[in-house]
Amino acid sequence: MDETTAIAVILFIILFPIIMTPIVMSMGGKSEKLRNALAMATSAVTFLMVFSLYPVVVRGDVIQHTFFEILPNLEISIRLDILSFCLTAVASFVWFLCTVYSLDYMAEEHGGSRYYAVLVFTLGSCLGIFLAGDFFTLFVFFELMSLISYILVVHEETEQALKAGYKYLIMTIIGGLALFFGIIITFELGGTVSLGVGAIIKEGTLLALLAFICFLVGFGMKAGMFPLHVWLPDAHPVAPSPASALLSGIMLKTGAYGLFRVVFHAFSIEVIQTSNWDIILGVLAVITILLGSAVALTQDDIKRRLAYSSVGQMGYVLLGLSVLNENALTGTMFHIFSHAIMKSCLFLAAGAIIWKTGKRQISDMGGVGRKMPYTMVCFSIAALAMIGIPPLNGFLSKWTLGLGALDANLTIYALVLLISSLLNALYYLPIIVPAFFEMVGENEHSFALRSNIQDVTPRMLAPLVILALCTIVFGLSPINVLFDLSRWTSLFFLEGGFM
Amino acid sequence: MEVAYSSYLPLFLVLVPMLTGLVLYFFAEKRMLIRKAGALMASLFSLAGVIWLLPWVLAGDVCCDLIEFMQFGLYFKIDIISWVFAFLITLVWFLATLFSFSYMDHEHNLRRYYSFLIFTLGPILGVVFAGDFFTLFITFEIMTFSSFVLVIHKQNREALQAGSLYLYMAIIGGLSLLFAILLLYGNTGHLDMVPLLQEMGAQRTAIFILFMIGFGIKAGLVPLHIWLPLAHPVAPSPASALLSGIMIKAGAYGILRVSLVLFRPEGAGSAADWTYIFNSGYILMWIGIVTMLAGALMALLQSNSKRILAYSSISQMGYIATGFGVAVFMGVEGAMGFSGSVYHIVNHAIFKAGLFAMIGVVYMYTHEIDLSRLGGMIRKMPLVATTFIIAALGIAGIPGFNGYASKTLIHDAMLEAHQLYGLYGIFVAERLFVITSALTICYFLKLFHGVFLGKVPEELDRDYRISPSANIVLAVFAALVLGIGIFPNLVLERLLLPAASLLGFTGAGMDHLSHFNFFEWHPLEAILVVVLLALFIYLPAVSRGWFEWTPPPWLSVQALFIRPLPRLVMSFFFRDASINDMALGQFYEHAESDNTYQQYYLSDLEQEPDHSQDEAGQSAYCMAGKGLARDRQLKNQLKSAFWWDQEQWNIKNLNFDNLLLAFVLGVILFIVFSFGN
Repeated sequence: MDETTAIAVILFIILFPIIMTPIVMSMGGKSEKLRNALAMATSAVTFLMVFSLYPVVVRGDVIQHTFFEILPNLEISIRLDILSFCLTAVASFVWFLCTVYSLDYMAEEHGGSRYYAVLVFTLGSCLGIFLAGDFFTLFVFFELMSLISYILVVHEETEQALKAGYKYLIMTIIGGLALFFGIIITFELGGTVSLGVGAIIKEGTLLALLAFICFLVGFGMKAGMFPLHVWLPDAHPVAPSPASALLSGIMLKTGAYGLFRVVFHAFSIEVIQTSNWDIILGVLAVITILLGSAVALTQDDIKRRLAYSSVGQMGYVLLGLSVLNENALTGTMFHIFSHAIMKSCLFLAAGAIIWKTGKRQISDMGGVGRKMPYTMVCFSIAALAMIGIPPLNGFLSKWTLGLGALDANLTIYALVLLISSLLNALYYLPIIVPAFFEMVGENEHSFALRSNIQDVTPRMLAPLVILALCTIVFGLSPINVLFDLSRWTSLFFLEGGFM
Repeated sequence: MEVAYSSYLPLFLVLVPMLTGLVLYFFAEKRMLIRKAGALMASLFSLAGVIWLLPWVLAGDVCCDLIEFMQFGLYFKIDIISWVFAFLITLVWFLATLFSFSYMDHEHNLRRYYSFLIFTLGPILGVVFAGDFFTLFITFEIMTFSSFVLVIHKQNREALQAGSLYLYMAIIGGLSLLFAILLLYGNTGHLDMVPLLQEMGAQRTAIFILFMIGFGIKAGLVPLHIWLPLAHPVAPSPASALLSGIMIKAGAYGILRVSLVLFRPEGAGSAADWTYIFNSGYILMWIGIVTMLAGALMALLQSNSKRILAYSSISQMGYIATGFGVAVFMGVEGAMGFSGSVYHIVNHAIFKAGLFAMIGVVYMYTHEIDLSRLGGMIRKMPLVATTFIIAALGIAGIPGFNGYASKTLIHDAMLEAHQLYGLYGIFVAERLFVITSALTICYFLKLFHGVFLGKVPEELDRDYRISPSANIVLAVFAALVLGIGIFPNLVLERLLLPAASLLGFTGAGMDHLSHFNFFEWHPLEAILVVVLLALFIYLPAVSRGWFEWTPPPWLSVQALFIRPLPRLVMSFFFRDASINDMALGQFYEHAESDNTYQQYYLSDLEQEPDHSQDEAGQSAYCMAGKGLARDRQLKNQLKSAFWWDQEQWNIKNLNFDNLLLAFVLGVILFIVFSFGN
């Protein structure tokens, strides 16, 4: 594939879902089946097109193309390098699975046309973030995605959802403004915001620190970083489950992706490390990990617990990003993959349970594993991966992150990772163990007593099973594509491949 | 170094039971024959495979290197030590599987039981086959989780509570193991099981402690033992036999590999290194002494027969840890302690698995496990009673039964250490060892008396027909106890001496070991002292009812440390964290409401000029109205004065057309002027 074709494909990937949005929307009035098929086809085609870029990326090519300039040096451009590809691939893959899952899940919900249209549009803007060639384009897509996904958050239109959505909206706007400010400072200091230039800001001046903090607020808000995570545990649980899976599994990663770009493109490792800004990031990450995990323990609503768990897990990603050596970056990247897979699996499984039983409280879920064995087995595998039990993928990312922390002589970070693993065990096992092993009659509320519950339909089960298999395959397999991609990404950045 | 063979057999031995377990799960609940046959075949395959490996293992190591698996590579390496463990595991597993056939017939959910029973064999073989600590950790974790299902098989409240304690302790152990391995890798750059003491640097104490916590939880060392007396008795008896007989040995195996292999200097080593090793071994020995004594004392006070056996396991693990400790601090002279411990691991696996099976048979037919409600079974089940006596004599260390050989070796190692170093601490430890051995006899007398002697309770007074497969299993266990007991030198010379020389033991200890005669006066005298001491304790204790004393609940490790600790952590950490989180949420909400308030204020402020403008407009309107009235008045007057001037020009009469006209004119003028220049 030569460069022109690749540019065309990238453009197609971004624009195709956005173009499909009004079509999906208008189809809703005529035929729901056609609308669903279109939405599914859109995400499938997008995924396949992303997949077709693999040879380009593996060759080590970087594609950077400017379409036009709005102002001198402020352009609309696209970029494909290995980091973009990694995130694009995992996003479009999980998106496809969640769309398939939605078919049955949303069948009886209201507002289907709106839901699918927004879903497809968000896909386009999300991929736009990952494929943007400069901070300005990135910002445009970032705002698009954030604002449009508000519709997903408030989809159920309950009072709770509206309240959470309002919080989400306000925080998003604050984040967007901070981000915009950061970009302006970067432009002022470096004269460009293109990602084709490494290390735009070369000195750690006060203004540069201000830019760093602005970026940290803007992207950290999205990534659920302490103390800006407060919208997350409200907004994620109220959305419909496939949307929660996407919010937690993919959209959080846009924040992490942005910070990646900030660390390596807006600044450079030298600037970050000589100015000791990595400590800011590290301390925030440690607090995020411990706080997210500890608070998850106190939640009884299953989706809220998963949302807090997301906060903690995003802390791992930030922690790896603050250590900045080969193993840590590999671990960070692999954890982005792992968390996308595990958390979307968990949210989809939790959604299936809620959909079937109507119960959200963990204390009511005793015996559910015997009624819905496949769903619960998938949930358990993903949860064990979350705890970091070998040979699942969560263990691999934790191990690599731990090695990275020790390479940098930061034993305390490795300790934090392990304490968090213990906490993860403490809040995931009380879901799994009673679900399978609680006997009939132990708990009056458990629906082991009720016999009319069966496992969900195959179309809802298939995404779950695929994701659960992914956690096993990408932990154990000797040909681990995701791990190789992560290692290449880390080497790409550390050896100055971003030019 | 000897030759190394490369073979995939170790991998198959690990994978076949796991895959069999998975496949068996998909057969329907009713297909019991397939299930039993599959489980038996898989365990037989492992046993045969391990025996098949023996000639190769005696000649050198059998390796299986799977680079790229799990990214860091799985690596299996079988040397003679691994082989001893593997043989023991597969043998006892085979017997336990056979025993399950009769025992489990009346239990529920057999599909799950057999699947996980045979699945667990895979990872536990992986633990002893592991060639590096990464592989060991992975298989160790899988073993933990799959054995959890066996522990909670009964699914009642008691089993679930015991199971969750087991699971959480095991996870803590696994994480401390992981941390140790990470530190080891961070400091040395590799994870092979080779001597690495010099390379570990300043963090070696931390690594050692973390390893000991990780393996010690599994091995049931005091004070990490608390899960064991709860979890082992609640499992079904064949599973208890495996948990107590085999699975805690995985912990012992880890302790062996860490203390005797990893924490050794490469080459000769400096004096400082050897002092370090002496200290760590000395501490390990004392942990072992405390464990054996505490386990024996607790066993004496129990009335649940399976719990006596579980505490007995803790006590026997204390013997093993003591032997390893002695072997560690004696350095290259430690052959006696090492071989004594490994020998005791072999013996303990046989008699403890056997004892659990025997108590299991009693339970299977009487459904009674409490000593106070059992009795007189010697008349009802003579064969079970006979095998029980043999196994109990084995654990008590009576000459002619297998426990004697290993206990003698450990005891002699301690005497030797005392001669060599002359430390008072070792002397005390040796005395405590003798007392514990006496206590062991006491609690087995109690157990035997409670179950098999005395009057048969009325409700249990019926005929029992014990199934032949159970009888065969018990007989095999008894035969093994007797066989090793009568020919103790066989195992010693064939297996333990090569193992000891593999670990580099030399010197007088090795010489002594290779010419050891178990049946001479000196060791027999020691056991005579033990037996007399036991009778001296037992007889008055029984007549005064000391063994019925229940310790107050606040005295247990659980009440002292385990329960308050999570509560403390809970209150200090989780609650604070969630309060902080809530406070943060409230902060944002406050900020939001403050913001709203400010907005109101601002909009008030904004409305202020609005209001004033309004008012100004109002007054202007009023004034305009007055003006209008006056105007009209004036007009009327004027009208009357100038009647011809009907349409007087007024601003009110300026309509839209005129405005448009004016605008167009303006535009034209503008164009004219601008183009005129």
